[in-house]
Amino acid sequence: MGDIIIRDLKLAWRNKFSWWQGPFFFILFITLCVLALNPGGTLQTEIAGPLIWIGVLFSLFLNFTSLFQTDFQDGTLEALQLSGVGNLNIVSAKAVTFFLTSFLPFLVILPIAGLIMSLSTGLISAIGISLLVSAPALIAYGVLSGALLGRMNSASFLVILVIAPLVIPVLIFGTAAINSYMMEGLRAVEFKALLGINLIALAIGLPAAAAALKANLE
Amino acid sequence: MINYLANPKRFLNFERIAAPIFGTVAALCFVIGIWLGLFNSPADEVQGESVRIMYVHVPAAWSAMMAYAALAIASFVSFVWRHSLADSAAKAFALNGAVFTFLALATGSLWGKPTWGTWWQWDGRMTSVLVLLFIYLAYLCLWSFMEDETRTRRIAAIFAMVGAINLPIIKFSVEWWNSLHQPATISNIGAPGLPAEMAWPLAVMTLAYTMLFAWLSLTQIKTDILRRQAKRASQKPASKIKLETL
Repeated sequence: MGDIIIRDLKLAWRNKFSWWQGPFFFILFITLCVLALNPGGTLQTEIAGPLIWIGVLFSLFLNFTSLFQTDFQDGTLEALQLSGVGNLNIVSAKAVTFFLTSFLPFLVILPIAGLIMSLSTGLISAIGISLLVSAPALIAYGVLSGALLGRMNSASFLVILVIAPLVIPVLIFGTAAINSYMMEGLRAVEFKALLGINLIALAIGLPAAAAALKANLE
Repeated sequence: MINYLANPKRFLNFERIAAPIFGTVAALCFVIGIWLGLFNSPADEVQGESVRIMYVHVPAAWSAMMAYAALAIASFVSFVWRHSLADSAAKAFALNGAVFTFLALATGSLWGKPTWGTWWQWDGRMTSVLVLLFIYLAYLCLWSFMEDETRTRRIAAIFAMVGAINLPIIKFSVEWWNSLHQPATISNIGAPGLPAEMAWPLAVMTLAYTMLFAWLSLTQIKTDILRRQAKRASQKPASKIKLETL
């Protein structure tokens, strides 16, 4: 499992574009939102958290499509299976790499988004923490959708349809956690709910993703 | 029973007898249930005449959830035993379930306006049923978008089984969150529940919806079997050259 992670990190490092296309899309989305919502208005602080959440979600959705695509095409997954690596190990490694290469960049550029929307530091860190706490569930369902549709040529549209219903609970509690973090910190009830959602998502999403890989390789 | 029907030929024989029966019972129950509900049951103390929407709303919501449970079971059968009849069944359940879910949402919305004063409220029950509709639609999209049928059935089955985590959320949403939607009246043991004059039309309508679901599903499964047979019959052999000519 560690070797797969290192290999994927190396691949991501060589393909520089893959690091910043998601964050670039995200910044573009935020800019368009700010421009459409009367820049300089006071409205923005209230809806900034949900907007950032939607922006991150959709850039993640677009990334999930390509999660397994090249590995299916060049036969890496078949080779891994032949060499006796379990499918659950493969999807877990993918989830870890995805977190490092495609999720962390959003947290890094979050202050820039805050600058664009002129948000307070407290609000930005609350948004960042709500995203970070929801990361396991988002990534588990994302890996599942990527594994389900990895063999399709034009899956990006379908990935959104498949994953959106599953992440609705994460979105509900994640955005609610922003405000309660600013008032109560990590003791807020939303974080307990998110913890439960994370556990369910990991327990169901990763084995299902492993089964989907197996089904796609038959 | 299920083992017996797993043979497509036997299933078609069963369908020829059972489908008309289910259809007739459904039609009869709808006539009786609507008559009972509209003319032979009391208006509610609090809600007035609008309580009669219950007789179309509650059975629709029940059948929507029952359809998803059936879909999940059919997907499990298809995933484990790779039986093509289970795929036909899952497809039929999903289509009918999506329609029933939409009916439940639409009638619930019509009921909500006179009693709660709003068409829609983003509370636990309504949101989770909406998610159920989205899951149904995504499942149907999976089938319609994919090219390779043998791979699609595995993938669709996995997705349907994962989506089943939404069912307990729907069931308990009224208990977990305070909402406008009233909690279950029927299943509470010891609670006064529904008076008999209201329970009867509800029971008849539930039977009508269930029979309608069974009838629609049976005919759709039959169509799918016939479609598959026709496809197999029309497939040309890979090559016309015989071994002797070589």
